[in-house]
Amino acid sequence: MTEAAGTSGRLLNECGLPSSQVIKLLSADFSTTDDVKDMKPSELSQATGLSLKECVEVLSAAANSQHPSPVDMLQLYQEGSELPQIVTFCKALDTLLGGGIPLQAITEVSGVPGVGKTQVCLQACVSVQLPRSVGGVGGEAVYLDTEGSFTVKRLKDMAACAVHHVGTIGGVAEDISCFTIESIMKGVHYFRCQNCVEVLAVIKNIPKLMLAHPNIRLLVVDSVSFHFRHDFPDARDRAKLLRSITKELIQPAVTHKMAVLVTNHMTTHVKEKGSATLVPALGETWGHCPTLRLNLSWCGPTRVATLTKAPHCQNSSAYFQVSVGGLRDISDNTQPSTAGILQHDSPHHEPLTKKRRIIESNNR
Amino acid sequence: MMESTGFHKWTKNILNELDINPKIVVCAKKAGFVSASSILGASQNELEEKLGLSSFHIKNFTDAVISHVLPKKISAWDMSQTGERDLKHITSGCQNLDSFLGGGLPVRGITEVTGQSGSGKTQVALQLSLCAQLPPAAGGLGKGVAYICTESQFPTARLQQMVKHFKVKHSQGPASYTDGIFVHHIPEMDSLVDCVRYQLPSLLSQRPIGLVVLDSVASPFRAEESSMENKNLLYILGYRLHQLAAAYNIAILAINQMLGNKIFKTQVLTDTIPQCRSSSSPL
Repeated sequence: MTEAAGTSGRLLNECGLPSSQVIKLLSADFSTTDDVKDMKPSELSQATGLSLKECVEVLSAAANSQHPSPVDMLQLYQEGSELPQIVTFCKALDTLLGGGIPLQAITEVSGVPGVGKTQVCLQACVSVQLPRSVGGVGGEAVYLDTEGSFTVKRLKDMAACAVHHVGTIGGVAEDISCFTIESIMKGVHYFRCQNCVEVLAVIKNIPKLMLAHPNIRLLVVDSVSFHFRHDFPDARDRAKLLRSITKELIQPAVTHKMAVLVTNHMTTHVKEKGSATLVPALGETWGHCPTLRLNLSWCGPTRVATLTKAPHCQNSSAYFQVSVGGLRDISDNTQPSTAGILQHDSPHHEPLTKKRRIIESNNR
Repeated sequence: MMESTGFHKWTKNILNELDINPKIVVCAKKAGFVSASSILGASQNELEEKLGLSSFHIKNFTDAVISHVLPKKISAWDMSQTGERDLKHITSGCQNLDSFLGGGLPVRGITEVTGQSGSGKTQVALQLSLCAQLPPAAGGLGKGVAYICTESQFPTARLQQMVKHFKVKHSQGPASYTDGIFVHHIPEMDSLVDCVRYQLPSLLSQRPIGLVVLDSVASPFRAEESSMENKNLLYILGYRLHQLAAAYNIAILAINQMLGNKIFKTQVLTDTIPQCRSSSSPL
């Protein structure tokens, strides 16, 4: 069989066939899908010594396999800049994130308990549904709840404010009239996961869920670390499950072009001399996974969001507040003397809070 | 029951519960992939290699396991309509406190009460133990209380005093309030975690319990050296309590103490204990 220029089909040993079949195929000089594609099962069986049934399997696997073609950078750039982002309704935060929570990426939101991680998730569930005609994504959300912190009433409050806000913008597009509290709440698909395996199952089930709801654009995991904080019977199991979840989260982001928003707890990292800092939990295994890492903390009475990992801009911070309607900019009268966006020299520099000053003074 | 908290669900053999080609079951058993955690934790390639089956069969296999384990999906709208997810509360007996807390002690997750010594934390716990036994119409749950005491003896005299006044104020309560309070005295961390792991689920499955009080969480932890094992025990304690709250739909009240002097210990304590803090009440 002559090989067409540039296309020689996939190698047979990459088609997902059992190794016993591959060995027989290779020893009969069949190495790519092109070599077998026009053959009949009986011919293939005679040539390789495989049974008729196995030959049918080989041929169907060869027919189904697709060769991923490379994409050039310009196409990627154009596609990327056309992608809308999920706004947070807080200008400072949106500017910090480069427009909003990005699609096709994994964003981690870490922070101490009570600082507002779940509020960010709820806000995103509402914002992702903003109609395209006002610059929104117009997609639905999947909420994977591990801690039971999802509150329906909060979502309803945020939805009501978003609908009101879109109503004030005006416009006559049909998708604005479809943007109601009911439609927003119906667009949030909620799963309560009691352990890591249920978390894995929900993430792996996303492709199937997309068949029924093709418009899902956001996956929220609140939080990824909760189920890893208990006693696993085997420490290797824990590491393995964490790696699996880390890997599986990449699929919805890349293949389905969703925004993946994951919350994480903080844990104490004890340095030498007994001083301690708070760092996001789950260590380095998890740390490499998110594209964007946002840390929420307190600066006195105000909430601060700090970017600690971002490919698009240098690490900096933004103030925000949580109101009845969701995330918002802090109002003018409560603005501290150093304005909205703070610049930092190093990625691990946190705003100096009273607590940190006390720790440092104790250690001198 | 431990099964209801999901711990064994994902480590036990589920092969026989799946509706798949028997050939796959045989291969999976031989390769040792029998539990949901091992099957879903492995990659597609690993399963194909170890089971010696084609990607088509492996996909069927993993799909069957996923359907078996997948939790129920519900839209936020349906949640708001059915109202079964509506938060229940246990009245505190004080109207101000109730309106401040949005109805009372939430029957969800863990609620932490902190304060300096003598500020009234145990009094709040005792009051809630009585209120929990009131019928739902009066703001209670109509169920019993599991009271875990880790410090000094349980204040029986004070409780009797409160019961006398409580009976006068509330006519609809049970005949004997003390019959509905099950007291455990556990001063050590290890025993406390064991109690939450084994004895508490057993009690919850046998009796109608609506509230678990932990008075206090800090005391057994404080008594021992702050180390990695103890920090892990604290995580486990919080996690197990959360699971019990979700499985049996109970309220959990954890009493914490204030540590003034040693700032470092505070740092470790405050970021482990707050993992337990209930995030149910809105701003």
